[in-house]
Amino acid sequence: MAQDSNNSEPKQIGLLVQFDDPDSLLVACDKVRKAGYTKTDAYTPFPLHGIDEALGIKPTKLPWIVLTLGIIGGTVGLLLQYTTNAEFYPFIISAKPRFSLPANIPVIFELTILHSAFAVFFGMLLLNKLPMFSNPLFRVPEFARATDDKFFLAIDVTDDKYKPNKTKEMFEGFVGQTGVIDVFEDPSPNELPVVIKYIGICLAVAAIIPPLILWSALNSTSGAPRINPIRDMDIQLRADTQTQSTEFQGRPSVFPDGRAMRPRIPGTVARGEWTDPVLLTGIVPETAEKNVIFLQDEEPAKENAEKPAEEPKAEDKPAADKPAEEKPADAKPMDEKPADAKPEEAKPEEGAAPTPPAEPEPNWVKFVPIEVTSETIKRGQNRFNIYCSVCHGYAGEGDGLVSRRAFELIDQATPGMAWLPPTNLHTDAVIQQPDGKIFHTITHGIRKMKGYGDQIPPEDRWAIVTYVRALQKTRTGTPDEIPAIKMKELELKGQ
Amino acid sequence: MGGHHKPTITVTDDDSIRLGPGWQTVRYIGLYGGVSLLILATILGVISGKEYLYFSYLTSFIYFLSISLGAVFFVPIHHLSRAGWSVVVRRVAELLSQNVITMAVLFIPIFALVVTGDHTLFEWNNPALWSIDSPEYDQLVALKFPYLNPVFFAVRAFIYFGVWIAIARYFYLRSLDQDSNGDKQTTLTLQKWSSLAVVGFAFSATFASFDWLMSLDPHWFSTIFGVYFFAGCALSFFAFMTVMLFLLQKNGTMSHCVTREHYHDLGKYTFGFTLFWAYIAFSQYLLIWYANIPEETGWYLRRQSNGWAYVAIALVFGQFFIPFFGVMSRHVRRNKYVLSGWAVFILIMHYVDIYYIVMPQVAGGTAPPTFGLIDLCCIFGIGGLYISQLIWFATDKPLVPVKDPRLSESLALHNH
Repeated sequence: MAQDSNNSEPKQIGLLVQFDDPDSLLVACDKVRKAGYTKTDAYTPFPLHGIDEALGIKPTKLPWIVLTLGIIGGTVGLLLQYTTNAEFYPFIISAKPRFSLPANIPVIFELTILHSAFAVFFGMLLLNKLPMFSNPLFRVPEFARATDDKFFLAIDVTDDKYKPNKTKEMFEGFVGQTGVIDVFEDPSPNELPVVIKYIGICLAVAAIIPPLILWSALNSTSGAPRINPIRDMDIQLRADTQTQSTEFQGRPSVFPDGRAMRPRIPGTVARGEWTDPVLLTGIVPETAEKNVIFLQDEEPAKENAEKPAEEPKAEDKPAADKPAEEKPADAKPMDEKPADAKPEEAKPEEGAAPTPPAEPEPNWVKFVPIEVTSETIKRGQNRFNIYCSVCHGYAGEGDGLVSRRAFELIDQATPGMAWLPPTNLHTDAVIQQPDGKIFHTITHGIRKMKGYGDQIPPEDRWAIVTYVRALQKTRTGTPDEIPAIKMKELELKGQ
Repeated sequence: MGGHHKPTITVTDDDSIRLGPGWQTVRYIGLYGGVSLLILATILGVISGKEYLYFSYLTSFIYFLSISLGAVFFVPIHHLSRAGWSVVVRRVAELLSQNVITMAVLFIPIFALVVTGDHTLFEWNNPALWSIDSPEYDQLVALKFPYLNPVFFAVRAFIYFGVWIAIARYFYLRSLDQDSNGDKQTTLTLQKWSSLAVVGFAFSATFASFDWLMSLDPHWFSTIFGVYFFAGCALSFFAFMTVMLFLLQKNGTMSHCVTREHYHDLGKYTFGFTLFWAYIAFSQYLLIWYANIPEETGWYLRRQSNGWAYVAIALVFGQFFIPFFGVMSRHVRRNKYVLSGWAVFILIMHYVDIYYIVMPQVAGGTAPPTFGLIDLCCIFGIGGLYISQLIWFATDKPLVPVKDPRLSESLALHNH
């Protein structure tokens, strides 16, 4: 450099030439490039077509950065899901394989986009050497108009072709130039101010403290109650179900016996909660007084475990009180046993091993206790097709999809596999069952069949019973059972 | 940008922007070849089974219809967004959209099948499925009867073609008027009506895809299907237009006004819609795969059995991964030779896409994928008529809207 660099005179670092119109700038850029200068840059108030070519700026590498990071993002998304779902925490969701690509694609896609977007944003900053807090050009007063109406071309003195006077001469010779300006180094010190330096050190040290606390907490035990920084609704003066009510924050417990809620009084029914027990159980109660079921009444644990909750009444009253007209439908003599009789077994059916008929049969309801209309049967068909047909088949022949699939698996030579098909609802054993018993089976299940009492409301269960009866009638019915007017209709249809 | 560099390039209305005489030969080859190939296809169909012929005809029909529908979408969108870059290529798109008229004529056989009660193609057209007394009674089809019945089907087909032809003719004829009178007001009028046209297109194309593709399996439904079909329309349109411009320029037409910048923009659209197609196709697949409802999965199950899985995988790679990375680079998009090559590839894969939607329904979904003489006859038969009609529409018309106020902006297009 020809410039002397003592402290009083700042070092020249560049040369700036100003234009009033973009065309002159483009011509100048072209000339500068052809003269072999490379450390050049142009500043314009708006993006200028052709400036890249005129200055000889190489195409940006940004697309490659984006592509690379996009591919990395997609790979990370895939590996993240593979490792978490299939390796570290294998978990079957929706009966899909642990590692199933379709479910993973949205995350792969999102991470690809996220990484690409970050690559664009940070890559752009990086390639433009941003953020730059200060530029010597900003110290040139004329340069402010680069964002308004002037066009500038700058050259760095470190350029190989730069010759102090020759370059300046060349710049002054440009057509349309309105000024050639020397750019000098910023004389202000470029060390960090001491205050900022120490504040920075302090902040860095302070930033280590939280991780240290976390680290020590992770590696030690403490008897102190946990810190709850955001209380919000975390701790409330409210007793949850099944919890004890104890003294809390100086307040007494809700009830002296430590309960948080009061149980319902045995033998009472809350307003609007009474339901005909026959409708709920399919069993006609044995006494006149005990024809209400109190769901809240506590029962012996054994009963709860082994016997449906809805039929405890036989235990309390002697069976002699039973109304005489309600005979068990299967005409089996009622074995009047005391209250703690063993829970009744399922009635033996075809295919099952015969069990000694020693157990008492409850007093089943013979006919559905709800009003039967064609709507009921349609509702029953609808529910039957939803809940029952998968096993029993749409016609109730015990050939539902589950059963067919099971036989298919056996056919595919799965050794030692046995399958007892679901009950055919058209067998005599089922036909002769009283309606209440079928209802009971739907409610509580039988053998392998699970109970549907929790899923299907009682009215719908009775509707299903009705529909099962209708299905059976399709096999057992005779023409004389059809009302004459319907028969006439059928004859007219030619059937 | 800015007020500087305002280009003052214009296009003069002369032979350089009109079809060369050589195209008339192509037109007659397409016309006579197309008619005779369709007759041959019919004969082959009568011999070897009409069901395959019907499905194959529908595949080719939908294929070429979708290209024109892409044009029916593109022209109003151009006006709606006040696009500058695409003025030069808009007339070509307008001419492509005219071919919905050709497709309306080619729809007559399908229309006749449905109206005469044939249910080989559309299973739901079988009265035995609707009547409760029939042993074949199908509740799901019966419940859809208010929509899927021959009368309403026919009415809808009239509406669809009515809307498409109205859009295509209106924008084309007003644009031709502008060529002669140079009225700048025309541009504003067309912009005003373009919003309505886009809405009309969206509804008609969606429901047409429901009627002619989705209802092939009357049990199946997919709410995204219209978008899926639209993605294919737009993609095939941009690919077809690229090839068309390339061929026109190769024969010396429009060579001075369509530049690499326009190819670059068409390439961007092709690239974008490749991704969009994959996005929509996968969205449809993912939800059905995850929910696992029998009515929905049946459609995909059929397309994964009997060898159809290979076609599905071919689509995943051929319609997405390969062209996606192929058209990703701007150097590819700015080279009309390479871009046209990719466009041809995409057009072939678009046929596979339509084939994959339609053909697995042959023989109730039990037939493996086959490709034979009937398919070839249908593609080249309908394709021949399509091309010949396109040339007929374009004959003696300026292929650039010479007095469009934004023409100079389009000619001076420069991508960043």
